[in-house]
Amino acid sequence: MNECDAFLDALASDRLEAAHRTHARTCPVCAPLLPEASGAVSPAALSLDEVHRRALQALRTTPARPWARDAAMLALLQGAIALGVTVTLGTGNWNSPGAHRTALALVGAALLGTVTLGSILALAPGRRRPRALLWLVPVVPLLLVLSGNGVHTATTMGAALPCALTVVLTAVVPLAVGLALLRGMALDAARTVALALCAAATGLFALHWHCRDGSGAHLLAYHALPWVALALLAIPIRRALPTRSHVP
Amino acid sequence: MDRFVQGEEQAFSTLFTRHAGRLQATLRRMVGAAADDVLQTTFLSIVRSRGRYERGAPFRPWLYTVAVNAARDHLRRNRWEEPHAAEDLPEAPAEPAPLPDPGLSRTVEAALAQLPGAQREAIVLHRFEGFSFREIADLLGVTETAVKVRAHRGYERLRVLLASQRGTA
Repeated sequence: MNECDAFLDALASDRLEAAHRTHARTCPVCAPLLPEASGAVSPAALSLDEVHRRALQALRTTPARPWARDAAMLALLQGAIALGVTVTLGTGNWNSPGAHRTALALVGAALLGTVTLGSILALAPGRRRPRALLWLVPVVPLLLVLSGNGVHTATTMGAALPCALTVVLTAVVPLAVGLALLRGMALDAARTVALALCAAATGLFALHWHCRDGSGAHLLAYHALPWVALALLAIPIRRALPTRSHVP
Repeated sequence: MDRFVQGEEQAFSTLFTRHAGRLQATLRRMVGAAADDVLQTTFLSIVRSRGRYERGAPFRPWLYTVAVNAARDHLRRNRWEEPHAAEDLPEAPAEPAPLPDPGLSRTVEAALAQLPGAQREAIVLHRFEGFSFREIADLLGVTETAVKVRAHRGYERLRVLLASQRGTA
């Protein structure tokens, strides 16, 4: 390893010692990489004044908006939509003779938690909490299948498609509101997917009580698949929308 | 920072004075001539979304996270633009450079501009801003190993580019 390589390794591993610096000071290739050779780019004082003035103006006209308020409103909206669609569709699955009621109730509670608390976590500042919600992708389909009664009733595509349509149509309003809120924070694919999963879970929740077809194939293809597809579709939609603020 | 979140102008001005000049220089290395626009976007973002600041979190990494996000968004929609020539810039109270080679910074910046965005971010934050790899990882939302790999590849490429530029000079 020559001296240039040793300097490079030291620089990249945060272990820059005196010997490395001595070499770099005399080497035309390594010298520009020395930390003290910052070669400061002159700040343009006039443009800074202008940036400062505009930011102060924004500070005067924009009140601080706690993120939790928006998140709570979205959670309430999604909870109301989920319950409203459930009441509209009816609870045929819950009332069917083969229903595993304990499992249905537990999974239903988990879905309601996803719809409400999930959306709050998805909008929380920072990156860790939204990313943790990505565990919903494997967990929710598994729970749906485990709570299903195994009976296959929607044997034709025509009979099964309304389930997929319910997931999609129920998600339209919460997803639109969620995407509008996401414009107020930095573009983050994981956060977008997390929020879309929670928004699209409104339809899953309603179907969970309503749909009598408890077969694994139906639950995965017509409940879980459109739910995941909507979440993935949200990424290009969010990317196409302009960002109002780049705060994480 | 708490006073700024509550809307106190003096508190914001203090933060601005402390960080804006240096951040502007960093953004010039990241996005070139569009640095002022991205700086404006960064400060408007933190003013408008100050309600998303987590109490007790250090301000500088938060500010740089916002700036990197704004820079990425700009580069996603626009191409990297050549910075203004140094002689076009107004006089400013910059710190005296320990190695007063006027061509040095231009050479480094020209080489930096040729790096892929992720490598450029890692090097600018590490080499020019003095963030540790751990801090950069938190700031960019990736693992520390990923940052080290990006920085190492970037430094390697930078050295090749600098060597070739020196060779042709």
